[in-house]
Amino acid sequence: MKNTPANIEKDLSRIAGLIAEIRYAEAPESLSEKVLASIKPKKMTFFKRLLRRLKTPVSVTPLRVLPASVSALAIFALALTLFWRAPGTRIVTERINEVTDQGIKTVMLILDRSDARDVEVIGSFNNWSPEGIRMVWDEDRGLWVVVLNLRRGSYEYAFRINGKEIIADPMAFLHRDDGFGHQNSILIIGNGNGNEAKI
Amino acid sequence: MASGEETLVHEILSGDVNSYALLVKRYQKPIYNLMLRMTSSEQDAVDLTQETFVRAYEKLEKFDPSAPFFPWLYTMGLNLARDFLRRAKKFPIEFYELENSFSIEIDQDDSLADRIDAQDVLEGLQTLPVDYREALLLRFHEGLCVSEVASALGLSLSAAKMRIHRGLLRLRQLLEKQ
Repeated sequence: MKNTPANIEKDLSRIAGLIAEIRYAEAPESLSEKVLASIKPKKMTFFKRLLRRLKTPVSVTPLRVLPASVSALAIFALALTLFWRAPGTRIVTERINEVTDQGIKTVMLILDRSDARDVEVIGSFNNWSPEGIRMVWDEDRGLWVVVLNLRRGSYEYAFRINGKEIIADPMAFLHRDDGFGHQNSILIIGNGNGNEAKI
Repeated sequence: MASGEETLVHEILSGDVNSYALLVKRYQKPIYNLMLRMTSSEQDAVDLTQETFVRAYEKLEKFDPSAPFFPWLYTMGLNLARDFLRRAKKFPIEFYELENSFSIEIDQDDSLADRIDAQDVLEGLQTLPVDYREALLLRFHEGLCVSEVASALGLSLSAAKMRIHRGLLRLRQLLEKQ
């Protein structure tokens, strides 16, 4: 056969296919056991544990882990005042963490989903109304943002993306099963001493 | 990155040794076969494979979990094997100037593609320089993309492409002579 470009190309394809078919020898079964016998579990430093905790959502029952005082705040969850800023409204980030005389706290929720067409927050702060609170696309930050003014209490919430997909807040520390296969994030508004957090 | 590996790496770094067992089971076969090719000794291959996984575990903090794990592991294994051969004063063919090689035209009725099988290709691969052989196996046997091959072999993207293409041409030449 002549070494025409077509023949060479055919041969190279065939060789590549045969390389894929080469049968490898099995590794001895004891190999993984030997490896595991040679290593010790890694220990994380305090700061690495903290960083990991910040990055990783955990599923817990809040009443088990939260102090009694915080748990009691959940009773007042329905006594909520909510102000929603319409899309396009300038976001007043300076007011974040500010607690007014009425005990209302301004919090900002953010979501990094640049692929979404629209994002809403749904949650206990408006009795899980199907009409969620629309988030605003913040061009500068590249994030979906909403600012909420909430009274003290414990709230559950989730994001609804493009009207269908419901996800927990990836930035929240604590989540609770909703009983329907999803998880809700938990937001605690404390007494304004700076310890309250989106957890 | 293969499915779920980033999570596995995070779990390992958090102290979960069992998650590392999954990575060992997933990749022990290609690493063991790499060592067999490098040393031609089953016992040395076992020892070097074990050493590769232990070394990778020790250095896991330096690994970027968002990157594919296998090319990183492979680089480590290849370096360990080269160190081993250097200590043992055994020198595999590391580089072969393929540009100066030439092909011999052989008149045969059947095309090469119709005459060869996987065993022929395996034998041909064993005569290639290490970097060419490993580039071909990583690309076509392990199914790595060219950028991952480049990462595993410490090459630029263009050098990896060239290594794969020239490796195939050289292998064809060898098989034609058989």
